[in-house]
Amino acid sequence: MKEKLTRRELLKTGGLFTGGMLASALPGAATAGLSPQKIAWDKSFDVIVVGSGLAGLSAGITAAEAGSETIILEKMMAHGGSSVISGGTFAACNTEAQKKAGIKDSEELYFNDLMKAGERLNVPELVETLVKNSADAHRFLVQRGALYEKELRTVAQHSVKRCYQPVYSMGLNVIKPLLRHYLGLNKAHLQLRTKIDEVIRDHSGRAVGLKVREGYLFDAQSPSDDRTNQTGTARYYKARKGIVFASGGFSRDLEFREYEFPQYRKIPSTVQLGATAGALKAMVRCGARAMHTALVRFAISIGYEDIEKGILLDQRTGKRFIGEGASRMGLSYKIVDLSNAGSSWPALIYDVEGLKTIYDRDKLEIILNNGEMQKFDSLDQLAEYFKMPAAEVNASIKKYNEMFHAGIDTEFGKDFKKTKASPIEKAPFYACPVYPKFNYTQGGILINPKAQALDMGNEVIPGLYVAGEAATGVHGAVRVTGCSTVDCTVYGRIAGREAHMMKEI
Amino acid sequence: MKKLSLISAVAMLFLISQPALAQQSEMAKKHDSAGVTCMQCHNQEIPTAALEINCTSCHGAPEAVAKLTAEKYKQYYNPHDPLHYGTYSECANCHRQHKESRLECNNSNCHKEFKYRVP
Repeated sequence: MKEKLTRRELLKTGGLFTGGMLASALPGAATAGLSPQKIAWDKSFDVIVVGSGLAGLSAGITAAEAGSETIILEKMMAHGGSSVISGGTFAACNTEAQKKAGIKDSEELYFNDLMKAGERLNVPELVETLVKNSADAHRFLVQRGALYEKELRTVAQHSVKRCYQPVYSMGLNVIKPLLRHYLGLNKAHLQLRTKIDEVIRDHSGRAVGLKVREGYLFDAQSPSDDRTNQTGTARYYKARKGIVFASGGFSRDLEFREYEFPQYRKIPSTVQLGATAGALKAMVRCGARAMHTALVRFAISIGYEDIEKGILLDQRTGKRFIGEGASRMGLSYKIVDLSNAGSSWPALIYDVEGLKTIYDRDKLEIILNNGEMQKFDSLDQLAEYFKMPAAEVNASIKKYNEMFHAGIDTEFGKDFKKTKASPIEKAPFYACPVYPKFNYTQGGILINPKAQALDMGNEVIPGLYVAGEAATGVHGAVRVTGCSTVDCTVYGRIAGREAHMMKEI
Repeated sequence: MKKLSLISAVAMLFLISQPALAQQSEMAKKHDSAGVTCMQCHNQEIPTAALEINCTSCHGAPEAVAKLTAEKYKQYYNPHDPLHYGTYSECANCHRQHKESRLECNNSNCHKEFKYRVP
């Protein structure tokens, strides 16, 4: 600790902001007197983009199309980050598709939806920028080969139909065409297995380059890959114009999450394996402001709107514990409480007729295929599989069915009609564990509407841009479905454009 | 800086080459019998990450490799042209010389249902 403090002091007096570079260098490293002028840059580019998901590709494409020599650096062995495995719903207002379908929407309406969901923790200017540019962002993607279904979808928390859905898969029909387009541009490069260690700022405070490691081999088994992984060869890359961090969130970083979310230590994640806090830490070390880092969005493996059609039983007691129509976060908190009290995940149960009423057939197919949703001939068999007390399970379901037929849930006040629930009567029975998974971390580096990173004094860090999940301020308390893709595209484009326009050094 | 990378290179030599010698993956056996040397993959004297270009120089471009398995896997997903990544991911994402090869698709149990054998 003492050593770190002295180093920090040394940096202050030296006027150089490469904090962690020293701390992370190998023992005996004689880098203390290093200044950007003296760094022997191994490579140099106009714009360096960190991360190859939707935000990174949007930034890279925009900068390269404008004529900047651009490189996208990716830590993993494959491009695309979490975007490539995302559902890819894209929410835009005042679109052609809305006009054609006669849907009345407005920037105000979209803005208000986002502010309401974000519990007004959202920075209004950032939401405004997102909303205003949303339709154009969608056009940008389509013009570069992205394929979306013609029909708009109704999605929770959006007051009107404004959501596009990629044809079949976002990886296949959005990210792949964008990457192909990007690689076809002049002076546009992609480099996999390149890890960012430090952001280097010069004496004026401008971000001028990165310390990276080439040939990085990410270790998914490590509790903190950023701390323990020593692979790769150190290199210094200069950014003649700007650096865009499109480095995603930190849902998979168990060590970082341990204290950020002490209540959710047992909660797994759905996002890509490489979503660790390394890039966030590097930006913080260079002076950027991290904000809202204790905010998380949960996903559940079955369609959320289908949970209310079945019965949910606590694994340890075999009893109901909540009205199945509870809100996404309310239900998640309750499950976390049960888990912290020693239960395994609760079981969501349907009978053969109930299963037919499930709305999200795509998700159902996935969990039937991967074994999460199991089929049972009897409730005793089901109870045994989930290690639940069989007598209690039978009693709970018997009571539930009686309440269903009487039309009143005297236990938790669930509205059987409104939720389109079914009784649990006819074998075979189907059940899956229901649990929240880390799906998105709202926190990150605070930006302004030009996607510039701000420091602790809310001053701009020249040359440093942040976009997508790595940035914060747009979503507030919780991100709404369909609004990450639009965030990535809008702020990725802005970051790419602004970085391109920086005075060359 | 040169000194630094030399130190890390020596450190890596111990970290990487020791288990490599102890473990023989299917890929390592095949490379051995074909007489492939360390340098043909690593391109340098010090052991550092293998370069993709050295896979393609013998095995052909990713698009060509994808064609080789397209017929075999036509009812399923072609592992060399998967839905999410197409032909853009690195070979070493699944195929490992010094560790056990594994299918990246079910690395974190995302697609437990995929049962491909990975040499």
